[in-house]
Amino acid sequence: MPAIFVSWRCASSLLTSLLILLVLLPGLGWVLLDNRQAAGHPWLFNRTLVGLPSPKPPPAPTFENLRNRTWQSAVANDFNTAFPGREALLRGINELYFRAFRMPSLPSADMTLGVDDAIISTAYLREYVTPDAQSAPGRVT
Amino acid sequence: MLFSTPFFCFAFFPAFFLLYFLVPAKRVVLLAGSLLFYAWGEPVFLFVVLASSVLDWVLGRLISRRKDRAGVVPLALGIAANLGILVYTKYAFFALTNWNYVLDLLAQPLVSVPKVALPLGVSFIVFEKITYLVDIRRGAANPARSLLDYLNYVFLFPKLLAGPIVKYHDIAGQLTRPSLSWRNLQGGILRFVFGLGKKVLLGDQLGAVADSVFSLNGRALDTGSAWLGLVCFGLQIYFDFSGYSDMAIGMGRMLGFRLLENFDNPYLATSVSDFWKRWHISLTSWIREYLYIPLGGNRVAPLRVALNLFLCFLLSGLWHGASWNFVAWGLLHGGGIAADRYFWHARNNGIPKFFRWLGTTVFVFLAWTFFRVPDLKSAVGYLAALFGRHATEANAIFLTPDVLFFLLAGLALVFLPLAASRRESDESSEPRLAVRTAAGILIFVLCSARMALGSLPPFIYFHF
Repeated sequence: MPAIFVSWRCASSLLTSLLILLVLLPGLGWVLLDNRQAAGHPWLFNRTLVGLPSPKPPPAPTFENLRNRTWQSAVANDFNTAFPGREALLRGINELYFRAFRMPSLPSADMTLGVDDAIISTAYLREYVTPDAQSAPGRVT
Repeated sequence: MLFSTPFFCFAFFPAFFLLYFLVPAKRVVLLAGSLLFYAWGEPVFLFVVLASSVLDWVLGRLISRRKDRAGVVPLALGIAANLGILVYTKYAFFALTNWNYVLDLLAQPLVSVPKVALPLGVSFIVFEKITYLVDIRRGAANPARSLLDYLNYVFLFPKLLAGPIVKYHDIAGQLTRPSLSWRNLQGGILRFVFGLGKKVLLGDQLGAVADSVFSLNGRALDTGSAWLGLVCFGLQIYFDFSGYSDMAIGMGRMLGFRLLENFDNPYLATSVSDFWKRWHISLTSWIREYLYIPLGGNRVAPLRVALNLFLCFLLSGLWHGASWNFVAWGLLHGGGIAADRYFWHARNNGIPKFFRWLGTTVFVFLAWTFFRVPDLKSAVGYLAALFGRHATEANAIFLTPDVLFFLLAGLALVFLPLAASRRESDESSEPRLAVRTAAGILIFVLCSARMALGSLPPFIYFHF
């Protein structure tokens, strides 16, 4: 077999292995890192904060909870909202979407550009930041 | 459990596949995984399907032993039991509600209408189970060698909830010997990722626009927005359903099964008949093999053929949903096919291909109105908006930069002959496979990010 085809075969096999690794990583991380609570509820590990809600304990796999799918939904939701790498993926898609279309990736979200073109939530600004009259319109310092 | 969730992509399927790959008793692992998959979403109905599958298996053995007329009895019993499940869960409410309407007109006391939640995938499951019994009766397949094999046929989770509808004779030989290989894994994972991309990156984005437009009352819509909503829905349903089919075929291939193709560039069809050879191929071929041909096929008088076509498409419409708008959608397509056969077919040669394609596309997209709206009244209102009967101020708000981008990308993928003719062949050459895999990695990362955001709707065909 010509060498070029062997190298293409190697390339496709390597790329497929990389794809498989990408599929496996979040699940492996979930099992090995045990960062479920930290990812879903980071404030739990900041002892200086008070008044924040504690996560509800997951429902027990009882017959009733299995029958009405409460347990299944809780397990899936737990993973979907706290799998390792989620934060980076969210940051990435929000950045990409906003750079490409100048709008948030979810219709419900509301974002604007801050200093150094950092994307910032307008809800956060409303809550914590006083508008600066000196800054350029549409920008927040 | 949706395929397009992080839980399925990163937890359920990898864990299942590792077990399937490592454990020698693959058929047992496959059944356990499939039952867990179905129980996750339908923990109660699972037992109904299990019980009826055991009944099918017993009846299949009886049918195979009685090749004479006596074999018709277990066949009829099996078909009636399966259709009974479908009728009770899917059509009882519709039928009784309409019956009450008639009773009300006649001033008679009304009957009580049970509210039954539609179990996931019931229409697909029932049609597949029927093929098992009929194939044995016809001699097209032998009964499953074991109950395990039959349960794997019924519950095989990649195709369980929304097809492709697998006919028993097409997969019988593979059930005992799934063929695992690196090449199948490569082709399968790529097919899965491209399907996921269709669903998550295009179908859902365009679906959000269609949802917004269709949620407006027809009178509040300007013509441009109505057409935008319709085109977005036409693209959404294609990317959503063909994306699901690609994922199912891809996972099937990873597990060592060859599932049949379900789509073949349907929006390039040049007639309604051609469209149905390219759209939801597994349903069309099911209807042809198990309904149209037994009704006489093309061998009966022309009027009877036309009637059979209408009947088949009426049932196809009803299969999609128990409401009058689906009946209207089915009859429209039945009418389109009959017109093809008796009118257009003779004149087709005189009409340039472009105009045949254009006419077919406009017909198919207009017919989608009936598919998307909740009832016939809304369909009439929406069609009126499409043709400018309720001219209002333009709702240009729908055509934002991101919508425009996804719309153009979607249109290019389905309509450009060059792009569309690029069938997602599993048998690519090595350089092509490497390039496709690199593209697959990029698509997978984008899909993962979009899935991480959450709020993705379920597949449209999960409702059927």
